Amino acid sequence: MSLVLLGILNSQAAAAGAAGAYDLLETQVLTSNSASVTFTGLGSYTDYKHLQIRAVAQANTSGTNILNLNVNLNSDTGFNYAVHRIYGGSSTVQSAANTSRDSLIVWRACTRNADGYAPSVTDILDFSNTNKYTTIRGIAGGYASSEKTVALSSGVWMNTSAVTSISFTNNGAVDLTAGSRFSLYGIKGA
Amino acid sequence: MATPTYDLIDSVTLSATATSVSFTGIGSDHRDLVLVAQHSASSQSYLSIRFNDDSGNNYPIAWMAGVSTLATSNSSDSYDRLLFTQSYTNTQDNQWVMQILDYAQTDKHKGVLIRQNEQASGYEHTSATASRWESTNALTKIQIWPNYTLGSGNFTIGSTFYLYGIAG
Repeated sequence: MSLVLLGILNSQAAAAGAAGAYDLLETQVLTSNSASVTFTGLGSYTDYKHLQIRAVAQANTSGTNILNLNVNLNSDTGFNYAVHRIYGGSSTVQSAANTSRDSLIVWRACTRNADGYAPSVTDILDFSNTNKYTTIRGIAGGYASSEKTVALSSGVWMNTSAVTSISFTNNGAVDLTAGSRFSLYGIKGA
Repeated sequence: MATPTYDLIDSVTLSATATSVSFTGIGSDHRDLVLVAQHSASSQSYLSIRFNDDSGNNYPIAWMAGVSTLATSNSSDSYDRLLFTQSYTNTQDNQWVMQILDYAQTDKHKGVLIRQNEQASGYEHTSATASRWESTNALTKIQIWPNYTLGSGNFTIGSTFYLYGIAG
């Protein structure tokens, strides 16, 4: 059985006894509303193979559905991303893809300000490898008056540059609210 | 400054069957919790989880699953427990990883994400679940039952549960 997400998390669990295999690098907890959250200087994290972002996010807007987190790498806002997602919560499982986008997406990872904070866990794989495009994948879920969703997302940045910055916004183009939290972790490789 | 984390808080390996498994006295030393479980049970049912003994209708759920060739999903606004599919028989393992974010924050409800898979013959499936514990209390206890009717079934010998804490 091939369950990538479960696999990597179980691998992390199995490796938990090895000191420093999974390290907290930075945390940003918003104390006031902000249009974006950005981690910079990632080029200094040369000890790590992969990155993980664990977040709870809320958008400063009202509405009946759940928003997405948009993710831009190295401030690239060109149409250099492809994204995919599968999600459920209604009576059917749905999926979709975009082959040319101006950001990556963590689907349904940002609730609105009456709906609590949406949790998400996103992996950025081989983030500093300059021989391949960078891929991400994430799990998220949220609750709104007209929508309850769990989603698995993945995407690729079609660029071989090492990732040096990650920026999060939401597709509502509104502020992330105070209390939203983004923690960045490094995972070591062989 | 990097902080090593993903710390083992507690673990349970059953040496006898048990109607439930609990982690109690969970401190607020970390930002997130991860519960990694592999188990089987005496009968097929839904796995039930409660936090802090809360039996109120405070657990909305959304889930999706692929069962053989069928993809299915649904949601509920208010269960009295966190509920998802679980083990079939004592020879067919169920594995899942549950993430609980901001578990000790007293200004937020607690977001929960689960990835699960199972090798039950004829019911092989993989699933994802999102839930939220609608409480602003710090989470201090997790109790897991193998059945929808609490206390009516057992986790089998050898079932394992590992609870980790992640700084944030």
